[in-house]
Amino acid sequence: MSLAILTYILGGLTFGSALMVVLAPHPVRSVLYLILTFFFISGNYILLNAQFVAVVNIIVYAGAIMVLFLFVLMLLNLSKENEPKTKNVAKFAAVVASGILAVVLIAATKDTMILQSGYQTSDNAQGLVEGLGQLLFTKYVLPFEISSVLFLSAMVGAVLLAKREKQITNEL
Amino acid sequence: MESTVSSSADYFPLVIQAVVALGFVITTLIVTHLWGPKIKSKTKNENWECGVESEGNARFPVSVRYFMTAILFVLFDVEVIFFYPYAVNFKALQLEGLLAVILFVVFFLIGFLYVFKKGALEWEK
Amino acid sequence: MDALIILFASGILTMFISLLKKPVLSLITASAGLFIAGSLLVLNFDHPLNFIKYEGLIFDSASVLFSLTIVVFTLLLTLSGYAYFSKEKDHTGDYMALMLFSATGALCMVSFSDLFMFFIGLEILSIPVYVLAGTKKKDLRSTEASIKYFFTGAFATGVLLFGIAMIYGATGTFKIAEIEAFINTNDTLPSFLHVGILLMLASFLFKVGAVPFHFWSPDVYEGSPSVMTGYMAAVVKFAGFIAFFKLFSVAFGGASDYWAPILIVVAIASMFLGNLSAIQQTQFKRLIAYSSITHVGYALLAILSFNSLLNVQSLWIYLFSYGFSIVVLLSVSMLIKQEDDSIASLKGLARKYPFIGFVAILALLSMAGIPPLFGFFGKYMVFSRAFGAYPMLVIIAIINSGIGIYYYLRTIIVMLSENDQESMIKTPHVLHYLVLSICAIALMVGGFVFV
Repeated sequence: MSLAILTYILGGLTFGSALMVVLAPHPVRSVLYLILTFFFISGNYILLNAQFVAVVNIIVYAGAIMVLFLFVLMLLNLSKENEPKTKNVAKFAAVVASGILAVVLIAATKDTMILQSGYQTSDNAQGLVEGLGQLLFTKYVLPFEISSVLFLSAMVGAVLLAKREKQITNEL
Repeated sequence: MESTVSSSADYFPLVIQAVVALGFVITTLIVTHLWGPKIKSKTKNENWECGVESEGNARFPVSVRYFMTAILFVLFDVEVIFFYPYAVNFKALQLEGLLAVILFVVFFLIGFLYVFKKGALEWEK
Repeated sequence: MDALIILFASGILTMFISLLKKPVLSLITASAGLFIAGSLLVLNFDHPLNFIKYEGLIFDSASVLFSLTIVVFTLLLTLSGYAYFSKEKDHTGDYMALMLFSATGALCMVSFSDLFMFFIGLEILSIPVYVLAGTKKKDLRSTEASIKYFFTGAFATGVLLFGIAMIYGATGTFKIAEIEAFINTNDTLPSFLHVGILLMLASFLFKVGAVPFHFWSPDVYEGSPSVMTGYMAAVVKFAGFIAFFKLFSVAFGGASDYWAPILIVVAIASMFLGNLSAIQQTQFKRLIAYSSITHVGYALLAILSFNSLLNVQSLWIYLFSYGFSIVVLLSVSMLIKQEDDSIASLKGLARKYPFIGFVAILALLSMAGIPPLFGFFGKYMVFSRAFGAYPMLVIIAIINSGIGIYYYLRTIIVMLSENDQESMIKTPHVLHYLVLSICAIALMVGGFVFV
């Protein structure tokens, strides 16, 4: 089935570019690979019939948030000299911990595969813009409005932390 | 409402668009490289072959003010995202939906007013 | 729900009043908002308002009680933090607005009934706290605290979200009542559910600061401004534990065979590690951080031993009494002069300011669980309810309470001792006296009123 092949190819590409994010020597390249990863993830969303999420993923994540990442990288002035050194023990611990997590996840997924065999495309309208809008503005209208508290506090927080303070020395 | 599952045929125009866009860029890049005249010398390979000598590293830390603008951009970008599902359902949602969106936008305008009054968008201080 | 809206509205108002650069006005707006929200909660206690129909956020009498607790602590901390906030006239209102927004999130977090609302509540609660932890811009430790809390917290949130996704995948629902029914009716649970529970457990233990995930808390507690340390220990921890209870004791209660053993180990480790590290501390706020890890261990007993929202009372009493002690101790910590946070600088507190010394000693004794004080009742209720199911665990907890008394008493002795050097203690603001009096009354009579 062509859809299954497409899934595997897309999955492989996603995995590969995500790996490159970690392995790329220069942080800016990592960010660029991350953008690529987001595009592939959007492809996966489309295969799952969730177009709205796919589009949002590209606009917000690949577009806006990655620009923010790049700004942060430029803010930090990264270069080879001041790169922090990770201890080997820490690296080893990280490998063991993530390995264990991977084993648990794979084991859980394997069990589920047996319970529910076959590739299923969801045929509900939840992932589409229309269905999502109907849910968002009727059933979930309260969380939608409450989320603006989050945006407001993020705005206040950003201004509070990032705005340059005026020189107080003149007043004193 | 017709079938909610979109078939691969629905994406065909998108694929054509992507292929054409990518194809144009790649072909132009390659073709100009092949056809254009090439002179290679030390001065020619400088970033600026005339004018003031370049100094220092290109990678210097940028001002935190860019970051400020970018983070506010992300917030308003997310707000715009919520308009798509609303626009599609504009008629079906009637007055209640409109009120919900207006309330949401009002909260954002309040935030914008605050940011503006606080002077976070002023560049030179 | 009316309280939620009032809190949000007063947050917005405070935000704009901050532009006037008059700290007193910000204080009045913020505390008036909190006061109105609190009174509305008290007035509508028996029939809370739910005027927007949404089944994910339900205000019943239990969640009104929790909301009231959050409002009370936020109000107390806003009042006692005023002296610190008003030092920066430009931002006083911003700080208070962020605290109000955060309290709004906390309200969502104690009254949710589906995972969707819970997650939004958690985010609204956390993000202002990340910002507020780093408001001492000139102090490197404050910036470190903010960054550390933000990175680890964001990572934990990611893990939590992964867990929620797994649980949704396994049960097909977000509502905690339906998840509970799913677990109780199905004999063999899908392994996705187990992984989801495990991931959520990890991030919850992180959020409340239990042992294998406690590394952030001493540094963050130490570096943050004292008001925010108090807010983290009193409000954030409270909201976290209530959500923890709602999800684990109620929603995943049927699968407790799976997560209870993990929690037992974590509880024991938290108690011992918190206590044994607290003994060695010379910094006041680090001491509080480690002792709060121990208290997390005690509170986990409550998560382990109850399985219905009707039984939440003892957990509430415990966290409520703990919150008052925290408010007192952090208010005292605000009085220590900048750049110095050592326990030694509290020397002579009780002699210079007898009332403040008295309340601080009350708070420490209440934390240690000395009888007529409020803290004793909380501890007693948690321990006695847990004794039936986990007798060994309760004995370990009692041993740890004994160890705890040692460092609490040591701090009290420092406060009582004569100071021969220049005093490190600032003149308290009149609001400090107000907050400390309220807390003193609560600590003394709370046990008889609420139990």
